[in-house]
Amino acid sequence: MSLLAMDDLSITVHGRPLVSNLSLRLEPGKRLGLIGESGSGKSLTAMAAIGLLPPALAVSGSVMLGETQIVGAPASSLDRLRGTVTATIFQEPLTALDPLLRVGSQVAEPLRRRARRDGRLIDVRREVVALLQQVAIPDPERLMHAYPHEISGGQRQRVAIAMALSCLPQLLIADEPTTALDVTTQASILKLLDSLVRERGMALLFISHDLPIVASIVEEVVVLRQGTVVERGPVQQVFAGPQHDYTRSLVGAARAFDTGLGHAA
Amino acid sequence: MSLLAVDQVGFGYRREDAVLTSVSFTLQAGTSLGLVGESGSGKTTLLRLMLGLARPHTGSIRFDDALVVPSDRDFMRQYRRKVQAVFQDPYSSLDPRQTVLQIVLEPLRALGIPGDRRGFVAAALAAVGLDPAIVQRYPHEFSGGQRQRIAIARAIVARPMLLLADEAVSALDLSTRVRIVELFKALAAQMTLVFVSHDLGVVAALCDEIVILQRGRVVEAGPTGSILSSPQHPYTKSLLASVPRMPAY
Repeated sequence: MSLLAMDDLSITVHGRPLVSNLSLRLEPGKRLGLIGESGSGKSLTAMAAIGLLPPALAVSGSVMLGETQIVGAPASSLDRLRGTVTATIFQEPLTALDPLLRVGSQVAEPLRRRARRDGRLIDVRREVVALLQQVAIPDPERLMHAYPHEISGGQRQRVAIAMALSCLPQLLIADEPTTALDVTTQASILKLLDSLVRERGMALLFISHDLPIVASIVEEVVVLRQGTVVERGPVQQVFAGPQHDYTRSLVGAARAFDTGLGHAA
Repeated sequence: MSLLAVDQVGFGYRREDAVLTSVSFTLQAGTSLGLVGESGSGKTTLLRLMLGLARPHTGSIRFDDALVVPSDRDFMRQYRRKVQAVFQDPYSSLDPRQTVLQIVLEPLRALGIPGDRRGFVAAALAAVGLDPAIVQRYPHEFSGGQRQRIAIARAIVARPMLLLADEAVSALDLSTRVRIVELFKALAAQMTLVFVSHDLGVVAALCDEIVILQRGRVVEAGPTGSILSSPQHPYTKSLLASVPRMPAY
């Protein structure tokens, strides 16, 4: 059974379509990329997967997360899924973290919640340190006492990833997780995400406008334009032989910038 | 003689923190230079100094062999005519209450440039690929790419010798970015361009020369081709290795 199944999903605001008749499947342990430019509806689609759309938007169609229908579900039942079935990493780690809470406390919160849910007693401090270690935060014993503004952007995103992982989700949703980061930081965060998702057998829904990054991390892609799927398939097939004019122009643009850089090292 | 000479420039916003440390490079008229660095490398600060918005604490910046002195109003008036800038965010760099005509006309008015100002505006709009008939419209009626074209039209309307662009395509979508880079390329054929960016792919597509900044210091500088094909400094190497590449298939 699919972990995530969207059928005929449409999202509108005041009758204006934002996403139209979108269908997609994500199997456990697989990685899917949602590609599109601004306004393509890629983030809305991802947020629809966990029922996080603003109430002003009208949603129709079906979004099945495991065995639960997300469309029209009450907030209480969605709360149970968030963190157990899915976790999300957002683009801007500074706004994703609470500025008034120390890094360690933020990571501890989902850990405690999970322990309560499972009826287990845990050594929160030890688990926080272990998680921060897994996301390669240097000197976690010290940095867990830092506030978000005291650490770098890359470290903040590592903390956000640690929070997402603490829930042991089956599906990790990453919405442009490296767009706000420097290129060298981006490279290390992508490597980290790739290895963590692989080790834990998580499924990944990766939203990005950056084609080379998508190619490096997912197996299949869905290309969105103005809320409509224009092309889909294995990433290699879509990037090597794009069928739709829009995909062709995107791949062409990405190749144009890539060619200038010369041969890859 | 070089058009712009940055010589041993040092600067800091607070006494104890140096943002730039003995930065030196020269720029020949007609070349396009990419200033590349990550956040905190000092690239925007350097651009501010080149614009004359602040004065280096040590060292000097010379334009056309004249010392750039931000406190000298007469000099700066002349300097503004010769040096113009385009910024990153096309949404915040245009006054939402002004029409395109007012926006693009502003440098001509502020600099007291005589002549057929409306004609100059129309020519600038045409040069950036916009229909001069749009002059009575407002910024919110345009897409991000079109707004950036308006900002570029404003920068070139007074026919500057040097155009400074600070991450001018970073906020744009991929397909728009390609077209705006093409526009900068066409402009670079007519004027000297300094293009500040963290995006090596864009700089490679656009610039003849590259200066790589790391924590306020120049770690490497030279022709684009040789920097990309045989980077010498470890930081340049790691920067190049970090750029996500399109797979070859």
